[in-house]
Amino acid sequence: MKQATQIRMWVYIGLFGSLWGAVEMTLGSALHLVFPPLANTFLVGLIMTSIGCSVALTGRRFVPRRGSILLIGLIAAILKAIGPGTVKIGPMIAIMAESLLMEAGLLFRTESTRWGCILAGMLALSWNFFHRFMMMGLLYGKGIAEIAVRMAGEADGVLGLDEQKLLVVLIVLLVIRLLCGALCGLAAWTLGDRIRRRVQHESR
Amino acid sequence: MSLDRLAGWLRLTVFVLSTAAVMLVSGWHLLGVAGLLLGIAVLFDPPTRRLLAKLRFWLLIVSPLLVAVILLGKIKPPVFTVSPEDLKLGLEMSLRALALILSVQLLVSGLTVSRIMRRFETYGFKGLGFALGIAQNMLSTLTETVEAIFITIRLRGGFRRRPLYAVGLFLISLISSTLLQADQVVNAASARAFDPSSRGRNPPTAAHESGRRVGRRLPLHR
Repeated sequence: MKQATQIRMWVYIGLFGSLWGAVEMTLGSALHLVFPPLANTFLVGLIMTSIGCSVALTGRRFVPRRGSILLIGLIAAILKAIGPGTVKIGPMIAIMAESLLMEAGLLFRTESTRWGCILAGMLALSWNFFHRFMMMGLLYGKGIAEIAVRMAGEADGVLGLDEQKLLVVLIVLLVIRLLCGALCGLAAWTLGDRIRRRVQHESR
Repeated sequence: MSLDRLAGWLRLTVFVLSTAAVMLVSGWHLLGVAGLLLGIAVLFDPPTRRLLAKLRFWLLIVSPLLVAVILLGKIKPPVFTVSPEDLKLGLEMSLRALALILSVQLLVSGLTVSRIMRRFETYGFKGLGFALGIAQNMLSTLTETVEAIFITIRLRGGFRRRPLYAVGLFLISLISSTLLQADQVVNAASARAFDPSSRGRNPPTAAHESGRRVGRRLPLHR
């Protein structure tokens, strides 16, 4: 019995890792094709992180053990690494960071709660805000910071955007991500319940 | 000759050294690092060679240079000028991106699911290797399931009439049907006495032992 429970745990981890990996390999690659990395500042990461977060948190409802989200993320990252796509390092780092943050959000309870899912979702989506800057710095070095500072200076002259207004824009972008994360956590919680009822109904 | 037959350690060494080099050097030394990685990719690694043949890859590499030139250049009719410093900045960014992307690509192009699973088993993570194998094999099943559910909901007008409800229904149907398939995998693995927590091979079952006894009695063994 104990062995069957262990096997079920690993199979479910593989399943949800496969779901997340499949989304990254298909939708992620397609979105990066439509929105090239330097042109996209907002949309692709938000969509992909929201979907990944929802999948991983739903997986946690079925594998209620600490570390299950991290393992789901690891499998998704491996599938992304061996799948198609040009730039894989960014998505792989994002998947692992988001998994770690979701685990942090659910650290104190093995069974996920509604508020735990919401917190985990907010933490995962907050990474998306910093990920853009981190990846640009990693890929392009300090040159990109220099360009950004000079462009900010020119924006000040052309658009009348001073430092305070730029800060407000950045805060708004972060708040949007946090709200999306909360929604994803809530969606995962609700989804988990409905899936469990459907599976129990179909098993009878 | 291909890097494929050489040890994964060689790929890891190339990755570590090239990443360290990219972080530490600047200026024209980056050209040397990028050039070396390009040479290794062209000569020894067919998957990375295929990546280099894609226009989109080169657009991604050239885009920082274009950004530096277009956004920082000054328009003085009738010419468009850009300072040598800005050009150098753009080139450095492009070379750095090229070197980093190539070093990661050279590392991951040698990876296959079976190799990773073997590594996991060797280091005692048998369950994780099992989960990875399940994930890889489920990809094709997932594709078929997604297609079937999507067509079913679309034919019933779900996405047009109540799009949010239809998306929820799609996700619930997808995950619940794959969970039911996963239960069949669990039953199959349990029947074969698979133990994800054991290191090394599973012990022979009673069925194995009786099969060996019958086999020994067959004339083939004389």
